[in-house]
Amino acid sequence: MYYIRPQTLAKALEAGEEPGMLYLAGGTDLILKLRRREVQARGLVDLQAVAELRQIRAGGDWLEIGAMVSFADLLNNDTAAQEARALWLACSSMGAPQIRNQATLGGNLANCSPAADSLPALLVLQAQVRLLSRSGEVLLPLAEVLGRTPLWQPGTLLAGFRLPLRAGVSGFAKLGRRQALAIARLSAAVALREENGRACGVRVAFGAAGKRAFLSLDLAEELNGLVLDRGFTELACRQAKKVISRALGERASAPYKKEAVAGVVREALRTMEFVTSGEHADVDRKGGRGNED
Amino acid sequence: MKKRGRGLGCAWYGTGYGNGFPDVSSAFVEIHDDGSVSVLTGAIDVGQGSSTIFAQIAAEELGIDADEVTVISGDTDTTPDSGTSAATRHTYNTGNAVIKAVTQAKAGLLAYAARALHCTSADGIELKDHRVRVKGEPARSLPLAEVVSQARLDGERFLGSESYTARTTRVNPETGQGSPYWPYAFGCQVAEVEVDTETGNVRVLKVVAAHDLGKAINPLQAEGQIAGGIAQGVGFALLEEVQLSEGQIKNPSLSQYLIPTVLDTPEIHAILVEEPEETGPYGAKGLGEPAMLPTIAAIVNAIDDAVGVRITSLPATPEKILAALAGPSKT
Repeated sequence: MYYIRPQTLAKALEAGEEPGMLYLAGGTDLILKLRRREVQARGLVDLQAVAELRQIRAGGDWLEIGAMVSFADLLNNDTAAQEARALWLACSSMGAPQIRNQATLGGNLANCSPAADSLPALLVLQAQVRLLSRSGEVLLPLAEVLGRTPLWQPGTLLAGFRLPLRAGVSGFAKLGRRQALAIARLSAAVALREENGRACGVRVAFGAAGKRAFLSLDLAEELNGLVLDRGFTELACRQAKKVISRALGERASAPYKKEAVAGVVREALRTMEFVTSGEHADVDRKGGRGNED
Repeated sequence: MKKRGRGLGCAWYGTGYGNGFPDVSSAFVEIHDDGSVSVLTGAIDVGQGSSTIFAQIAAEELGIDADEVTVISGDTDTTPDSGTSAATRHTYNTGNAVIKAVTQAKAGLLAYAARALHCTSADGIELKDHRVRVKGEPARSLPLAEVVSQARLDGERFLGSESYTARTTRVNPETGQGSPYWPYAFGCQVAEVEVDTETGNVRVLKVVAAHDLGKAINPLQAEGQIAGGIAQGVGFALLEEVQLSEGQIKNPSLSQYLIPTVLDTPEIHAILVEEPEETGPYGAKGLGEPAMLPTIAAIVNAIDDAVGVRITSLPATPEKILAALAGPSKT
């Protein structure tokens, strides 16, 4: 097998265009798949040395996150912690410190597991995906990319994500079987703006409830314009059950997940950086456990 | 809604092989002419700390430090068989064998020292602080290493080779009477849990664990064994399950067969109860397996206390808890 470690984007693109060459990001999924022979490759183009892909930059109206930014890099970035709270929470819930040091956000999308932790968060944060190829650069909404199979054509390099700054508040919660090294069984991300005590621009996304993470436009529409009080939370939890029930259909996990989603959405709302009602007053900002009774 | 509850679990556990099966441990001991000691035993330290316990026992008997004792274990070419690292038996069973072997090696040393110190009986000699002393007259003493070294030049060797067998009997199948285990270990734990009534998730917040171990030869290791037992108990109660399909294990890796991580492990408060076991080394008995037993009942009872459902099969998964919550409520 060939192994190439280019230092520039141009060299990386050139190498990636060769037939059978795969881009290697953190490798936490790809290496396992290669070992299990679920993926065949003539060679790997390791993107670790392409400095441009490892940057997080805030400028103008946008937060730019390079595809090779690791989960740990994102957790250490103050702007991301403030502006992309749902993503920050999702990153903090993924794997364990060793995996967060190695795994990248670009890899999380490229691998596109149903349970990918970052994707529901990136969806509600209105992420655009930056794709490079010989024919140039395109920016596409993540929701659109997730609607395609394959996500992009061979020879395309995922360069990173672009998120609007000052787009409101966001939160994320995940249901796993344990507190670390847990694959999401269900995850939810929420984002909105508060205007005069009402919710505007609501976006809700789910992970591990179907083949890929998805935005629920129905749920967003039902919540838009409502007063942000306890009733908002209860309605969101109740309606989320219907969304998950529809998404999962007759799957074996459906009876459990369509009930449990209420708790996940409640937790996601709880992690948001504002008080929606008296019951949220003591919420730990980092999404820690609050005691409701 | 997240609800909290507390539950109690109690356990008693017969240590050793039991039911009259020969439960034998053996040890070889040599006291060297620099005052250090070798202990050879087949008992394998798989992380539970048995080799440390044997070093402490030999050091205690000879008035030296544990780091002057070399424990050679689990080498079938050189060490005498001490049975398996199982049944919570090494501190008690092999610990007793080590004491017996050290006592044997020490007997020759005391007799030699009595002559060297002009004492009429070996009973009047004691080993303390690396010295051989006349009891009641500490000024009459010699360095241990000097005595052993001189004895060696005089052709003396201080060796021990001993075995210990636990005193169990078979149970009479007619009457159910007998002494199938010796000794028994006792433990009691209280768990505090938080149950999410919407997701069925359980978090174990705190476990207080009181265990009778006779005598804590190494209190830090004892606390470690209790913490390890509770972590395993949390896994047993909430996570661990071998899934079988037509005889094949469906989850044969640690990415599928989940055990608790450190973040799933509760705050642990260990209470060491020292009710001496008169047949044990310094009154000690085993703690290893008993440490995980009460955890399971304590957690399941705490779930009941929190949300009023009785989980009757393990692990107590979120699915089972939600299903039980949805079912007819308990009266």
